[in-house]
Amino acid sequence: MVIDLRKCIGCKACTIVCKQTNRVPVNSWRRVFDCGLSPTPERIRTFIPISCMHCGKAPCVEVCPTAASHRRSDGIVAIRNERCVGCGYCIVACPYQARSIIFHDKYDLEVKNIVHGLGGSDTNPDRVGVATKCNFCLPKIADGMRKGCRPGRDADASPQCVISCSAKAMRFGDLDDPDSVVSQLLREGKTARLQEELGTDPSVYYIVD
Amino acid sequence: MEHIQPVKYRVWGWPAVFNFFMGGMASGFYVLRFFDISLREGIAFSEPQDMISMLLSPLLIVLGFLFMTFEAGRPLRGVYILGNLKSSWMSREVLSGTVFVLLASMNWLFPHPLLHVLSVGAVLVYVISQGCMVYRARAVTAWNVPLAPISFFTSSIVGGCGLLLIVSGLSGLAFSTQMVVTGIVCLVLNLFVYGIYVRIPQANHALRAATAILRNPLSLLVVLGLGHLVPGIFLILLLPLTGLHEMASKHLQDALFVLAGLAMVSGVAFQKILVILGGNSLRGIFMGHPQSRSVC
Repeated sequence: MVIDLRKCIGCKACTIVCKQTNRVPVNSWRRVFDCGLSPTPERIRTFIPISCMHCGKAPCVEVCPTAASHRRSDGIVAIRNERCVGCGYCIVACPYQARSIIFHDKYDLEVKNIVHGLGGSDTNPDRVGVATKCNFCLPKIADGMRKGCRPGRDADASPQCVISCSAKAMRFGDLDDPDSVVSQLLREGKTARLQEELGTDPSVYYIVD
Repeated sequence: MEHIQPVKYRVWGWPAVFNFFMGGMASGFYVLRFFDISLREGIAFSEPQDMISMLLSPLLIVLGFLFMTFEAGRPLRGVYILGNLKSSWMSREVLSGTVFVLLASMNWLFPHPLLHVLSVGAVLVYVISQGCMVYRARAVTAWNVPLAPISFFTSSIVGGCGLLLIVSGLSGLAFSTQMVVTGIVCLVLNLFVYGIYVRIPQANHALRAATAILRNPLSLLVVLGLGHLVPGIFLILLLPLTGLHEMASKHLQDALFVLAGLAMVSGVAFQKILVILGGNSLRGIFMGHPQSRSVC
């Protein structure tokens, strides 16, 4: 994923649509931080959308005692809900504050409605008490790819936040494909990643001018 | 400067503190007790009193594990917890702790030197795993430093030494000059390591901010004063008394042993509370390398 910080206007549409699509509490999988005005004379206001970075050397995968957190062959870091014990080790290992747990004691009606859909039917009880984070709308992408769609090019095979970004600041695609939009953006340079000094090799790039 | 400021995490709380404190103390106790008795009686000891004291460690470790289940969202899935021995220190901690409990219990039922040595090995792996587990929590600034696991190890040994002094003083177990000297050495070692850990270089602003609570005067008073200085004085006072066998001096020795042990255990407990609950801020988030780039 490539996010153009020059275009992001901080509308938080991505966080809302993420909540709606994935049935998670708002700001759980995706958040937008307001960095305020820059100290430079230009006084530029910057917003940084943050979610799971799907790191190449993911600290969460390394520490997960049950191997519930794993890195798929396509590079997406996913969680097998049925294996997670909810120990929280991945939360203290992730340097991007990208993970959280919906605990039973905070499992109020509002959260229940979000997780299970309005009416609180227990369609997805696995989501409570386990670690949760952005999975790049994995089920949606998988469905889209089965229909022959290409990630990042077709809406059916792209994360909902990318489709809903009002400023078109977010781009998604296969970094291994040299013709993909994200690969082209990376070739233009001007990109940076978060916490590069930690050597986690995050897969989310930011265009910072 | 960070683009996104550090925040306090709310995942690991008191159950984690209990696990680290009791597990560490139990490990230190078992290792020191093993060396103390082995040096005096040989490795194949089987005095009833000694054997009872050796059951204390596995019990404390099991208790620590039980506390952890209060914190897990899905504790009934504990069967999967050994699923990532290749890279997860939590898997290794649980495995070594479980192996230790089994070996120590077997050694209690059927005392054998081999079981005894193996259980000491397992508990050493367990206590090292605890330190490394904390170190690999890369989001927590105060833990993700090389000194953190060393500090966890030395504090565990001090906690174990404190427990050993309490048990010795209360149960009237035989104690020696070596035990007193060992206590002083453990205290000095932990004081040294913790002292370096607390005195973070000025240049590392993030780490200094994350560990600020450790340098709070009250924190220093309790950890260094109560946890190190007070027991150190008691142990130094004990040195000339250990050779005496009169009843009056025996009572004085026992009292000093218990007081020194209590002070050591309290100091270590407070040290772990401070590091786990006080140093609980998730690192701030930088774009690129902290010194090289700024977008805000």
